[in-house]
Amino acid sequence: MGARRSPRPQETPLPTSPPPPTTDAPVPSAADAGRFRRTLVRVMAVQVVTLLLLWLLQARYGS
Amino acid sequence: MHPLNWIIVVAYLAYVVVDGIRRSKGTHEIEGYFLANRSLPWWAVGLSVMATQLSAITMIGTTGQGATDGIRFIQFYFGLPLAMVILGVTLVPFLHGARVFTAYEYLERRFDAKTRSLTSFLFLLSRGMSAGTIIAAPAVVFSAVFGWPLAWSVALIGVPTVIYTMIGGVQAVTWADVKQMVLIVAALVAVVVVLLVQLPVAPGEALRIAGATERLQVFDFSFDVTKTYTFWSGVLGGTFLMLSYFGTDQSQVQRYLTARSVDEARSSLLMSAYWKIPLQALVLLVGVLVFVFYLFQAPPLLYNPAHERSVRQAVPEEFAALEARFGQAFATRDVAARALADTRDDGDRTAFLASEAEVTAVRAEALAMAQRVTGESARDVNYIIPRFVLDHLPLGLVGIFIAAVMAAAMSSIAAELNSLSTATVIDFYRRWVRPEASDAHFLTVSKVATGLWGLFACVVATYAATLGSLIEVVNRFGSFFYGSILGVFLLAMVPRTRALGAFVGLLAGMSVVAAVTFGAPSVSFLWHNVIGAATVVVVGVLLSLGRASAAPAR
Repeated sequence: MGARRSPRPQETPLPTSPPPPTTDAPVPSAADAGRFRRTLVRVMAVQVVTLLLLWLLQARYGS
Repeated sequence: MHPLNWIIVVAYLAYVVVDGIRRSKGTHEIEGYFLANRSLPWWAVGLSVMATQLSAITMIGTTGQGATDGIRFIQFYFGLPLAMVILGVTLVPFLHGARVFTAYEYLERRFDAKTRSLTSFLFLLSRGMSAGTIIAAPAVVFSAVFGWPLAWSVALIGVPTVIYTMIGGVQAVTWADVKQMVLIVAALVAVVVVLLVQLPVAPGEALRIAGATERLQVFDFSFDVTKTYTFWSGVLGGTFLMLSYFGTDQSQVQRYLTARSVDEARSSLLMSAYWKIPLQALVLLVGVLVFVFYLFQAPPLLYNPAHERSVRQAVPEEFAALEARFGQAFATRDVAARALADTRDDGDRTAFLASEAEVTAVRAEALAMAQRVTGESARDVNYIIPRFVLDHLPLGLVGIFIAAVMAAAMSSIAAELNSLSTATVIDFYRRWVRPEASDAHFLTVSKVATGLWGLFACVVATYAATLGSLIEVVNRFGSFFYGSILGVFLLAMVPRTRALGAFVGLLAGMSVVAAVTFGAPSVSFLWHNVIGAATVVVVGVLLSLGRASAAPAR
């Protein structure tokens, strides 16, 4: 670990010449969008199940 | 505490320090020191992300909050899973792909140097203070429980953490986090098991008794912006807070910048999306079960032993009379709780609630007495679990729990010291002071910066000692800046927005949050994140559009 010589970061650390504005936005591909949808569905499904369990706890034992 | 428990605690501290020093081998440059050469697996980073967020305040304060207020606090985390998914497709690829050391470096590429420096400075300000608060939480409790001077408690937690963070860098921090997370979860599960075994009623009955006092009331759907924990503040305000914390706070960003790839960085965040709410439920459940435990086992009148000693010494007769009343109220409540466990009668429930109210009233008198005698805040929520652990957990498990509290504190502090050092060196020292210096020089400066931030955190910890509910203090403090910082990053993703808009928007966002914090209208702190972010984006976009439309006219 750590033996590799790494290059200096790509930014130019010169206070007098800030780089031009850019969004640096990675262009999302169709595969990215599909993966995001699948991830969103999975995480939200787990979230719904968790909230349902908490609601059951409240409904069964709450006042 | 029994010597065996101390041996466990000392062995744990020694192991963490030795392992941290071992991890320092091979770290000869700042990319290795700060980012582990972007080589860590997703599961280690994911556990480190969770360990960083789970501090000793969670182990002591949140469990105590579960005992006194129930599990409604969990609503605070309802926005977290969505925030993690959003970050996975927005900021994580941006930051990981940009191969930056700090999140704020990206702002210079997108806007300008002063926007970067201001956001980084705000991070240093808020996290520098919160690092002190995170040490203070367990230090104050240890100090009161074991009768040590506060400085010793601060040193016990702070010194080993500073040593392994300073020497080992992010490698030591991450791998220590992995082990600390395992220790924390194991200790919490063990405490739940012990509680279930020791309770004189079945788990279902215990939950029904807790439910009678509304401690299992999870959801509050009222849309009241002055209330702190509601479903809506959790889902909306919480999402913004989590977006800010995990997306723009260097202490978290640095965790996933160490991942091998963008996909591994995303996966590390999703671990929190899946596990944070169940884990938090476990933490709060410990508190609820401790509340039920003390229905059948006489609790101390004052959980803070230092206050108990002071009051007993200053007003012995008054305190003895109060203790006698407390004993009677407890006995009545014990009978009522057992009756409620045996039957499901509404009359038993009413009798139990009346007896619980009497116990609470006597406790309130005792707390007022403690405040009068000591001149300090008598709030003792943070002492409930430590007292239970020391008085009722079996031999060995006490040491494991104390080590777990230390682990929780150390994992959060280490990540913060590591990130504070990174922001100091990368965003200020290398950017403005010595841009041309060698890697070896930056590595030395980074280690010195880590040590100095550790010293600063320990000094702050000794002054944060008298604050009330520590978790709220940290969250309130963070919310003052978080929303506005998030707003700048959101603005960075809006095409054609400009540096002036970002800088003025950031100042406007903080001004509006300051207005709602200190003036009217009164808005609960979770909403500050939404307000701050929205103000920055609106002001930033308007200013950028204004300048863009003004430009052709010239």
